Amino acid sequence: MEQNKNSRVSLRLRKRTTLIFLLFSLLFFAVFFRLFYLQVFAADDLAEKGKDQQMREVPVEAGRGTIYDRNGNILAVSVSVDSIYASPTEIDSEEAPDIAATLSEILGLDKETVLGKLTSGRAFEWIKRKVDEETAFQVKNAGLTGIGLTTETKRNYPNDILACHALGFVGIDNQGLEGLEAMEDTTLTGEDGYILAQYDSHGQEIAGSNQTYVEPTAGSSLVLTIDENIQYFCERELDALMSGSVNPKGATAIVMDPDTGEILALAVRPGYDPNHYGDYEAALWRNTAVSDFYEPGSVAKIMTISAALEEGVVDEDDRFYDPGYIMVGKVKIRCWSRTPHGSETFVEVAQNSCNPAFVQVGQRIDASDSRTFYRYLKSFGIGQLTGISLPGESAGSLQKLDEVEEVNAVDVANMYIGQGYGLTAIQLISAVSAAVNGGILREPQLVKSVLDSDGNIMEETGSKEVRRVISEKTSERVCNILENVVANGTGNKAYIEGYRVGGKTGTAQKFVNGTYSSSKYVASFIGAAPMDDPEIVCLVVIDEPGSYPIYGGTIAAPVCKRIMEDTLVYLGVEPQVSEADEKGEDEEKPETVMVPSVTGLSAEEAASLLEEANLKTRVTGSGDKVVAQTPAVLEEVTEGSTVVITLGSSKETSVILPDFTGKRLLEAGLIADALGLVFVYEGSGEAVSQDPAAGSAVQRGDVVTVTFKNKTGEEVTLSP
Amino acid sequence: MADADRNRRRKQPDFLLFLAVTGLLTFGMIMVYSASQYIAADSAINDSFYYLKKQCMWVAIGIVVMFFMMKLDMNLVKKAVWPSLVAAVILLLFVKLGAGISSLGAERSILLGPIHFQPSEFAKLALVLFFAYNMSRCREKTATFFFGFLPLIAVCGLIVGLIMLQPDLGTSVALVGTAFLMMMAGGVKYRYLFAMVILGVALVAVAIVLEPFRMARFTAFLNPWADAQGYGFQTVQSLIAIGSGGFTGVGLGNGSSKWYYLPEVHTDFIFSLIGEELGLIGTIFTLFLFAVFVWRGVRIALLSEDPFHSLLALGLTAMVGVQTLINFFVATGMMPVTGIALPFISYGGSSLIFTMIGVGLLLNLSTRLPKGDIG
Repeated sequence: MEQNKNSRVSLRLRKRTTLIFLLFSLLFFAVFFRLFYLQVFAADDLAEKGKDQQMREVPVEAGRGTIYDRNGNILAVSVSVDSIYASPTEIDSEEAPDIAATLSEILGLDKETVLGKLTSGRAFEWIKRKVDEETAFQVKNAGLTGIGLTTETKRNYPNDILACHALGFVGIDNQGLEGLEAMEDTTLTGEDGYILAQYDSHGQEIAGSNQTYVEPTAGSSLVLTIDENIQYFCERELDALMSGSVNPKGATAIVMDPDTGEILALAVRPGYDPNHYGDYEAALWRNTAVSDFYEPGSVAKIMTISAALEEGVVDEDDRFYDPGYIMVGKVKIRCWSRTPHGSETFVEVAQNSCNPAFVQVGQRIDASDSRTFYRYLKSFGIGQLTGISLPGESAGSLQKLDEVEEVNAVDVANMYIGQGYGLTAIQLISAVSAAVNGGILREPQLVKSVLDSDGNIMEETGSKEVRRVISEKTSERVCNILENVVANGTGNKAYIEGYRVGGKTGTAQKFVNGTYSSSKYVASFIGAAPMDDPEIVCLVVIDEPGSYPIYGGTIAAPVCKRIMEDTLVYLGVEPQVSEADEKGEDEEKPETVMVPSVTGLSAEEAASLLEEANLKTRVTGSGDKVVAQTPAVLEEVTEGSTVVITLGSSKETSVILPDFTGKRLLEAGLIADALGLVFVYEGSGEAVSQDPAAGSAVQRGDVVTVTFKNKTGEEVTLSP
Repeated sequence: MADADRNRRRKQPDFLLFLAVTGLLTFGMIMVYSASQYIAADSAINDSFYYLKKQCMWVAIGIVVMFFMMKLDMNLVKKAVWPSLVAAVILLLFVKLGAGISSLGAERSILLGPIHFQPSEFAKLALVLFFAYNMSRCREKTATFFFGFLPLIAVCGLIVGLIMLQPDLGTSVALVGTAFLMMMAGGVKYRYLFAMVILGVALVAVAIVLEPFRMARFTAFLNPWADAQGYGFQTVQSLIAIGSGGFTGVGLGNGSSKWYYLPEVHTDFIFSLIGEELGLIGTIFTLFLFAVFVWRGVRIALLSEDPFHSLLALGLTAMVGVQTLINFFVATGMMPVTGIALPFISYGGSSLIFTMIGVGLLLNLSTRLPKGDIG
């Protein structure tokens, strides 16, 4: 019985033990299948996740290339500076507040912000990047745990503002953001290398682990076509202009070598210091010379002259008659001058920049095909990108005439005189360079060559011909006409003693909110010298002159003259006597004289008065008295210049003087101009009194004196 | 019976069991070095061989202890059952009463000279001895509630309760699992065992729901990737390690999980490193050695004529087997993380010595199998 019981117990024990063995087997198989799943099916995915957390790529910064001017002067260079970082995982949370206090004191940072970074628990945090030597030294000496210094490079522009719009600037990670720095970023940047290494969970690099080191390729350097000195001449002149009485909204000056298309200087105001670009409004970073287009006005008549000569529809001696306006269909296009130019040769048309005559010239060009002149504009590169190596270039705005069925006569008539389309300053200087360099349009160049990190020339840009626009002979004739404009015409203020200078003025109303503004102008002048074989072309554009006068010939031409004069001397161009001078007078130095007032006199009296002043007289119109004269009273002209007097009845000569009170300087000046009065002003601000009084009858050509005063508490926006 | 025992000509100890154990120990030493070398060199210890040296020492001591236990008279073992149990309870109380050494928020060990001694390891052995002794003595009565089930559950509850106070969840779970299997073998009624399971599950569920941090751990177990930087961290790192190994592993010594990614890599998560460095081949090999151990252990239980021997063999096998399975389950993400070492392989002296005592006893029992058995 006992035995039986025992064996029953033993049997149960064995049965149950076997069951337990089966249970174990089952669980072991479960583990087996789970392992099989993890190590066969999920293996790749899990291994990838493992790599992600262990491998870290540490970038090795490639040195950024230097930017030189054409003579090897440094314009932009990267220098090594220290950056301060923290390794929060190494910092004890109890020590963190003390470290944060010390750091915030040395670096001038907010203590809480620093503390936040120190206790972030991350492996790496920047505290402050690119600090000066002194600060870095202080941090180093403080010997703070978990705080380290590392070398980074910082872009430095040693000439500060100089050529800022051409150069642009780079961001905190040395990425090009504006200008050449952005446009040539890939060339300058080179290729960052990196170290791919394994790290433990505490952020320590594993010594002797599989490391991949990819060496950085240093960036290439750029040699620009810009000449630091010529650039300086431009910026000096623009600065003087900006702070002087003209007080414009902005201004641009570009100097180009017409034979190569190389840009010797490109200056835009207002400017900014690329070393501290963040301190300036972003709008100031904009390179308006390539990004903004405007209606050029008369300067663009150079293209009309070129087209007319090339087409053979005019000769220099062809005579035109200007009654002061021209009807195109039902639209009356007026001349800028209030006094008709009367009969004039083609050369004189150019000298006077006479709108009605230019429309007639244009109509001759388009006589057989109404799109001929438009094609010339296109051929000169208007409406197309020049391809200059600067970001944000605008193609301008040119109505696509070959896409319209019928060409509007008024539209093209406006184009002949430089209106009704928009171009950029860089397009204009390229086009004019083509007109004077023998007829070939070239791509404007900013980069002369690319150097490798050892300074060897890797790539030379070379001059890029776009197309021939006019023949060499035509170009020569254009040069002669432009020389006359400066010697005898509206461009006389650009005359440089001893040099043969050619050029063209321009004053255009700005197109604002769908209409031509009566107070916003663009005054410009484009000059070239020496005219027998131009070596430089210089464009000066003044955007919205803030005070009267606003004419390109008056305010832009002198700026252009000074830039060209310094540039010619700097470049060692020998002074020479111009052909126009030789033809005019025997004297080597032409004297300038002030034009006397002849308005109101009889034709004979006027002629004798002008003769006394060594000026020639040409009479237009009919009547008993002189009602208008060009140039106006007190203008300075070269001896022997011609003064055009317009006759009329004495009735027409008197005007009723309006009330100037409350008007601002610019507005008052424009009104006086429109009435043919000589405008003299005192003070600045708003007009408070005038002499003669409002309502009194005066003769055209009389002097009106207006006194201006600043209203108290009001900001002065205009200066005399 | 004691005399018969003494006079009987004993068989050779179970060779396959011995081979599996030595294999695991050797493999363990290699893996402990691989796992600890980086941490040891990087920390204040500054000696990459530190853990290996200590492990070798413990293995040597463990083998000596094993041989000693192999020669032991079983009557002596029987006599030691009650004193062991009392000593275990006292030592466990001792840990709680201020003598314990705090580590990672738990007090699990007391200093015995230079040795960190974990009373819970001793308690496990004491419990197995007591269960085997008690059930083999009660025989038929084991099936009853008052004489069979209740005393067992009371003793088990006391020991587990004291261990949970430390707290040491891993050891508690292993202990309950071992006790459960022994009760099952010893003849406790299935309905009691079933009730025990239901009650256990209910208690665990309540414990999880009541404590937000346990809830978070449980949620992290269900989807460790959702909280990969928090409660899911260990599981995620373990899965990454095992998965990275693929079929053949990244090579011995080349694992990257030991760069602080896998916490406790030389102790609780050494199996994950085996998976990474030696791949599926390595993990299946480990699994195989443990399977051999369980097979030979259960075989001894089945062939033993004496119920005490049989139950003791099963208990000792289960003690190692359950702990091994929990470790595997945790490493492969099949169970929430409960810190528990892998027998024979994980670094750690206290655990190894008591495991080796168990192995010694198991080998001892294998020499007492009936003659007819064909090894």
